[in-house]
Amino acid sequence: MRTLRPFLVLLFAMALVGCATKNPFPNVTVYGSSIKIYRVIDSQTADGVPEVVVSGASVALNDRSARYRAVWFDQQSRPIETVVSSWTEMTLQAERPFNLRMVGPGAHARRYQVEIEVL
Amino acid sequence: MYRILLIFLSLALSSACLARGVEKVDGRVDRGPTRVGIDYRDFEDAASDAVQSLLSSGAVVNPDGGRYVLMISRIVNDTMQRIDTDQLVKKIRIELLNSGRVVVTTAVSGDGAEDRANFQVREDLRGNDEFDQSRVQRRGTLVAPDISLSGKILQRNLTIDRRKQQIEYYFQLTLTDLETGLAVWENEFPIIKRASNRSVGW
Repeated sequence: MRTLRPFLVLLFAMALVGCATKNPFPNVTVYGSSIKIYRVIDSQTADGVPEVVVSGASVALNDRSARYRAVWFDQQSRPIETVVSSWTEMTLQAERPFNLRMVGPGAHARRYQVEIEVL
Repeated sequence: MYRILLIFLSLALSSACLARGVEKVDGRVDRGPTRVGIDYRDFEDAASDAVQSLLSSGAVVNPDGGRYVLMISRIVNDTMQRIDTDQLVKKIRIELLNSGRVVVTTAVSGDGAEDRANFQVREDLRGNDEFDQSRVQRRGTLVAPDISLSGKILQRNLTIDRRKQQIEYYFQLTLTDLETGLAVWENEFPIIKRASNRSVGW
C-alpha cells in the first residue's frame, strides 16, 4: 500500500489538473468526437452586426456528416428566434481543416453559442 | 357472420395503422429524410444564407441613417414544381425587419400592390360622407421604396447513370438600388440532391 501511495497521489493530481483545464472556446460546444477546434474569431460589421468564424479540423480517418449553427442572444441573454440559427449540414472531410462563418441576425445580437454536432 | 367480423377487424386495424403513422415534426431539430423536391428545410437554408450574406455585406445599411424601404419584386419559379415563392421571401422579410435595417412596403410589389387596402382606403373612403374625413389617409403619404428584391429559383435535372439522377436547385436573389438601377447585392444558393431515377421531383 505504501508503494502505491505516490502513484495514487500522482493520479489524484492528474485528475485535478484534468478537471481544472478550461475549455479554450467556451462559446463553442461540440457534440461528438472527431473534430478539433483551434481558432474562434469574433468580429463586427461596420454597422454592428456580429460575426463569428470557427476554424478547426477533422481528426477522423474517414468523411463524417455534421451540422452546425449559432444560437444568438440579445442584451438580456434571451435567445433570438431567427432563421440564421437553423442547422447547416456539412461534410467533414477526413483529416482536413474547415472554417465555419456565421453572421448574427442584427446589431441587437450580443452573444452567441456555436453548436457543432458530428453525426 | 365471419365475414362481418373480418371486415370489422380489418377496418379497426387499418384505422389504428393510420393513427400511428402521423407524427408532428419539430422543424428546429428535424433529421427526417430529405425529399427530391424542395422542402421547408431547403427554403430555410436558402433564406438563412441570403440573410447572413445581406447583413454582412452592408447592402441594407442606409448611409443617410434610418431604415431602407424595400419592395418585393418578382421572384420567378423556374422549377418543375408548384412553389409559393413566399415560402422563401417571407423568411427573408421577417429577418430583415427584425434586424432593424429594413422595412417592407406592401403598397408596391412586382405584381401590383401586395395589400390592396393601401389603395382601397384612399379610393373608396376619400370624399365619402359616411367616414370622418379627418381620419382618411391624405394624399402623398405613401412611402416610395428605396430598394427592391427580385430573384429566381431554377431547377436542373441531370442523369448520372442508369440508376441515379442529380437534381440541382439554384436560389438566385438580387437587391437593386432603385435610385440608380444598380444591383448592390447578389446571392446564389445551390442545393444539390442525388436520388434514384425513379424519384420524381414534383
